[in-house]
Amino acid sequence: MNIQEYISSGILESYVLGNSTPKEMKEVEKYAATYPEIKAELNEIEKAIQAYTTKHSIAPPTNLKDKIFEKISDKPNSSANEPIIRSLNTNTPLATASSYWSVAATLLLLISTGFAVYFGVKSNKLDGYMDDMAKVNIALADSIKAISSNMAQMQNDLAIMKDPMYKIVDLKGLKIAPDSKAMVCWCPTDKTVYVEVDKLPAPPKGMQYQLWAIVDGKPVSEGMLAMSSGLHKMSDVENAQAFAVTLEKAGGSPTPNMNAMYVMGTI
Amino acid sequence: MTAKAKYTEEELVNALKSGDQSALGFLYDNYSAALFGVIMRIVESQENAEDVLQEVFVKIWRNISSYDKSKGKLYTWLINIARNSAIDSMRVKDYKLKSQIRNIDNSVGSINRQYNTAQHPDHIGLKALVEKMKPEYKLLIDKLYFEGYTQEEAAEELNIPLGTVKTRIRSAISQLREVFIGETTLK
Repeated sequence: MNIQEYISSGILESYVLGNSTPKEMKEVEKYAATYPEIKAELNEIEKAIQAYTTKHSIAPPTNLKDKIFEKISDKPNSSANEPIIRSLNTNTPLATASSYWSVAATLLLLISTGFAVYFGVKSNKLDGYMDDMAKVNIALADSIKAISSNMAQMQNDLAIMKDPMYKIVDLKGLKIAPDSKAMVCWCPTDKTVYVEVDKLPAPPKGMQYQLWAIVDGKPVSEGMLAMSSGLHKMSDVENAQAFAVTLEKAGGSPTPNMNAMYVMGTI
Repeated sequence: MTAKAKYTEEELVNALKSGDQSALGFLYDNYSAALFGVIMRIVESQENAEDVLQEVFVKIWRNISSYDKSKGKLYTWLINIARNSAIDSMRVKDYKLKSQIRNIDNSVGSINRQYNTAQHPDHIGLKALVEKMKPEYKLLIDKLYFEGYTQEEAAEELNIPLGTVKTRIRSAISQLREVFIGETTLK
């Protein structure tokens, strides 16, 4: 292995900073024991970190030392009651060791079973909660979708109404239904026509409103009206002088029924 | 606990392993400020930091038998115990909530720290040292070492690739070594 490369990899620094994985730690310790260069490098890194942390020293309050020693006097470090980290290859007879381990294992099993049951119950509750939250989320997502599509439609409509290229034609209610109202946006240059129904009596079954453009005194069908709000695109028309809406049989008529004209507006 | 005796590192470890409390007194006198400094960097309140320091000395006392000098210097072992205990104490409580509060309170924390630095003469040296270090190096070392970030967390927080974190650690410590060597030759 290339020692210089290993040294310059940054692994040793991470080791000293305590940021390396257990696998890396083992590796570093193995190499440090084998290669004096690596051991020396580790030493230097430790010194640098030591210098840095020493610079950050803050003296603890003076009474703390006594407190600590009080605690420690109750707990001598050589006592057999204290958990001491031992290496596994002690000379203790195998039988004792294995019975000790079996007790430990049984305890561990009991504890882990307890945890499993506890977390099982908890997780069931959480599952129900998560389901509820998921439903709420879906509902929210749906309403956001609806709102943003409405919003897009409104912005679109607003852009047309604000566009100076479009002429806004108010269609006012006639004798048959005086408070009826509709609006046409017409662009003479590119001939596009939009209509919005503000107020019209609901059409009887089998009947539909039809929009007409009056071109040189003659009615030209612009298509059937949708009753939903917002601007709806109709057929293109050139040289219109007026727009009107009549009630016709569903699907529309080739000529308007002049007795059922609801709104009209001239340009 | 007036332990005036001077120990080499090896003698100190042996004395501690044999249960000699005066050796622990020596250890406290010589290392508690460094350990407390590290803990204070991680734990925000002085009160909690004092609890952690107590816990750290109890751990050192109990676990000195597991210290293996072939794996590193005693100092590194001590600092790592302090660091890990401090980080654990922060993670015990709702860690996420804590870190949110920490973000908001960052400015307050830094004022407290400035106050603390004013109390300790060693920090005059620290200022000089820090001024010689590239800010991005210092930031990285502090995140990794004092604030208990993993390399992955540091990469995310500082918005740099993990590979850069690894090479930057190396450069940062090289620079720290240079500064440190320069300082000791000056003395």
